[in-house]
Amino acid sequence: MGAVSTMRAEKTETGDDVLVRVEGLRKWFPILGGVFQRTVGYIYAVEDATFNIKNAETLALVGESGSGKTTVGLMLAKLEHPTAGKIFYRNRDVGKLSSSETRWYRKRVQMVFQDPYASLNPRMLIKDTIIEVMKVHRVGGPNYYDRAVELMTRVGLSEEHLYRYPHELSGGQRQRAVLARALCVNPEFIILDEPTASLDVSVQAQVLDLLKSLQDEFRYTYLLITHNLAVVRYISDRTVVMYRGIWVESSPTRELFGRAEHPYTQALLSSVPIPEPRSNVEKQLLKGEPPNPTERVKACPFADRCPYVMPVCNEKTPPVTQINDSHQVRCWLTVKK
Amino acid sequence: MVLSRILEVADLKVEFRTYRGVVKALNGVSFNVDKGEVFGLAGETGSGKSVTGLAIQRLLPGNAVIVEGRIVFDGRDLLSLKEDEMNKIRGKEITAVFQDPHTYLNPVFTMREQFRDILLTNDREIASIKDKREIEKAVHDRIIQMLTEVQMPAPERVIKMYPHELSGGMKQRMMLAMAFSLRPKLIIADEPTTALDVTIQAQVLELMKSLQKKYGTSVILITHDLGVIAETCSRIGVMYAGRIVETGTVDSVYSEPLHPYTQGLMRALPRADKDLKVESIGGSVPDLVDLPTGCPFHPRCSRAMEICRKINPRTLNIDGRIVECHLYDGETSRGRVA
Amino acid sequence: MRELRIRELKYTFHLFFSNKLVVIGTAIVLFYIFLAVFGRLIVDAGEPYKLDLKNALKPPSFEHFFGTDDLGRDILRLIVLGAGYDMAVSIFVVAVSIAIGTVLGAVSAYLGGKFDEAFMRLVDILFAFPGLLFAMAIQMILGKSLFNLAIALIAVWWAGYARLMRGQVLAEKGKLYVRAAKSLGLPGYRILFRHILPNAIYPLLVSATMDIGGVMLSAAGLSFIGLGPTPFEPEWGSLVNRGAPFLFVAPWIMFFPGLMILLASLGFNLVGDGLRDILDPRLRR
Repeated sequence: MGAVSTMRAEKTETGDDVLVRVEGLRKWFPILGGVFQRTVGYIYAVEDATFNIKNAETLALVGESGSGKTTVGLMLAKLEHPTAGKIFYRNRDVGKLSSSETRWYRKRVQMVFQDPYASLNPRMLIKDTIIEVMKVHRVGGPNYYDRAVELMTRVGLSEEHLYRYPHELSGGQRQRAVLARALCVNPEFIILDEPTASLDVSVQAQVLDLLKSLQDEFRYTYLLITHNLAVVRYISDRTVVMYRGIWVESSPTRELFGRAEHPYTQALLSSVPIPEPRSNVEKQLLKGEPPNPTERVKACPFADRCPYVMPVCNEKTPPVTQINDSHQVRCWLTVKK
Repeated sequence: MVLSRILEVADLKVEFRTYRGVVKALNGVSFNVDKGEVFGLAGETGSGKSVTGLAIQRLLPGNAVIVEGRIVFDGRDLLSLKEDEMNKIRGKEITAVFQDPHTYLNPVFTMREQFRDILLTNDREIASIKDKREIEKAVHDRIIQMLTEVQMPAPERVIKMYPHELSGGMKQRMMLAMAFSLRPKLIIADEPTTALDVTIQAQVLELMKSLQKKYGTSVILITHDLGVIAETCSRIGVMYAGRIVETGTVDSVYSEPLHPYTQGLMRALPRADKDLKVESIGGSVPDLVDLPTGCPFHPRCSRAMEICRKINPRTLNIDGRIVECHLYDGETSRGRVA
Repeated sequence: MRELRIRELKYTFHLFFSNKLVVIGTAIVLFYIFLAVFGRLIVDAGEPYKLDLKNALKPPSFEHFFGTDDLGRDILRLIVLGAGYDMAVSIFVVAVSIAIGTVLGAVSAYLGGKFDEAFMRLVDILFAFPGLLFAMAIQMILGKSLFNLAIALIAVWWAGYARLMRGQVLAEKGKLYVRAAKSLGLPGYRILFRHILPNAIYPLLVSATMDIGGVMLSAAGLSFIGLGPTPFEPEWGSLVNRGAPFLFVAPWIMFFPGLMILLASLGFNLVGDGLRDILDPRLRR
């Protein structure tokens, strides 16, 4: 593993450390049918996901159901194999890792799932769940137990919670326990799939703040997968918006909320209910619903719902337009401008 | 009895008998809903908002006991009605929209068959028709009319579909069409848009608002999402541990929340429209089997006083706003008002 | 944390005692175990085949509660002595079958692919055979004895557990905690044996408990048709067999051993049913 650990993060032209590079990622799930279980079609879950994640930043992957954002996360966690495209981690092709390198990768890259209850073994104490992971990766020994207690305290739980089964914890406590399990092997990159979707508002804020403070302390890199734009605005540095498996806009979060370029991003932002009476300046309501994922996107994925649709939108895939150094959008409107 | 009032819930107490002990789900819930009003019931998990909705429809599970309280709907005391009398109200005068349409739609029948059942059992106009063919025609026309009203795409095709063939947004439109088709006086909508994407949620909420206005229906909108309430409701009740701790118009409660819990909730909410420092409420929701003495919020309240640990706060009326907190009770806190 | 464990335990007891049928079933099962273990201490254990032709075919009386058989042996005494054989055979067969079935079924499901396909076809073939016939054939080859009877039953029985286990593992495999374990880099054997198995095995335990009665019936059936223990081993099935020719003269010879088999089967089924309720995590919130 010596050769692996001496690898450096690659430098881009701008001088930032890029930890993860995702290029043209695609995932089609075959639909099996008939007597012989042949492939009769595909679910086009992810068509094109392309982005970089810099060291110690939080990249938000935003989209509605069917946008493919979770599938991207699963591919990054090496739980699904991409149909096409590549993932580079510290400039290494993740698809070509040997089995020992895969172990190295799984130690550095952790995933926190949306449903903390389902992601814990229901018949294992939290203590055993955490210590098992440390033992397998030979991290934190020889006093695994002390390390487990230390982690629990760090995520806002106590030693007592180590002796609980998952069903004996509250939603917020479970999410913290899952975080402790992810942190126990000193990872670098954590994939957070809807980390607060199952939590109540008052607890959600606690977990978000915990995530922030952990990042400040240990310089973790986060990929935040969520549909909740308020959460995105609160903790992410950059945002990639996906629609029907295709990324449509990528921008620093601050800028995205100020001036979204893609009509879908604009509609998404204006659809979020704001907890302030009479704040609805002017709702931009979208018509229709995303069509079913078994039809392949031919041109612009948003063409059939877009209020500004032009003939060209149904004919050709829009090219990437650079709004500025860090803001890209894929829309014919910006091309025309 | 004020004429403009459609529903009055007074001091409702509901308990669940479980092996763990008595779960005190509602501990004295009082609120009113006016005719044609959308009333928002906000709260976190276990606050009792759904139980309140079920209690009004008298659909509580078997181990639930209504300990005391009164539910007056349109001049009738619902809790004293016999089951068959209640049946005449449920599904006609009070209808429901649920978060998960799967719990409501039967997977083995087409939409037309299910809609038809609702109309045949509940609609007086259709029940009064004698001729069989006439009935079918009336039913069909009514279904198509309702589906058009909820802006269902291709209604003639949709009625031949089974629930699993509809998308989430279409199912929720179908639920709205069914709920409004009988011209009920009150609709209880429990998290109707929680399972939907934001763009679809915006559509469905808009639709619900316009139908509600058109028919003058009263709606109780139960949700955890304060944003949804702000955009849909005229008044809000904030629930905590089986009590409504604060009630008022949406304008006043959002701009100046009185109860420390409401204040905490507003501060804990990350916002999509502006950069805001979020402050979480420490601690967690109390165990309903073992409620703290005094005010149920005092263990998490930063402004808790000695009296909060001992005595449950009274219900105070401050300029038309109702709040349950010692901070505003001149007698109990010796005039200390924030 | 100890309080929590105690509360959980109390809850389990509550579930147990709130179901009357389970309590009855457990009482029956305990009674049988008692008979099997201590039976030889209660009755005169020596020489079960000793003849006493003067007392042959006596109906139930105060002297012989369950009557006597054609050789004048006390039926009650034979039944008590036979309990050990029946219980030993049933539990042995189920235990070995479950061990084989669990491991093979779990591995097959976890590996999947061609191996799984081939394995399941083998199980299908076993199922397609009439089980009793298959067991008879094995007995004919291996020779007649109580141990060979057990072997024959295992050969038939394990396939059911393998199939059940395979289904369970497949269901667990799709769950999120297994995915999480994979993403944490835990090795495959560890995921299978430490994570999936403990979650998948409970339905098997339920089914095993219920099967003890079934195995007892099958064993009795085989020995009834003469494929089983020697006449000197008072296994219940063989007792029934002995009584068959005297059905109309001395029905008690068949009746009481038959009743014992029936009751055992009932008891284990009741316990299995209750176990299912107690172990069901949905019931445990």
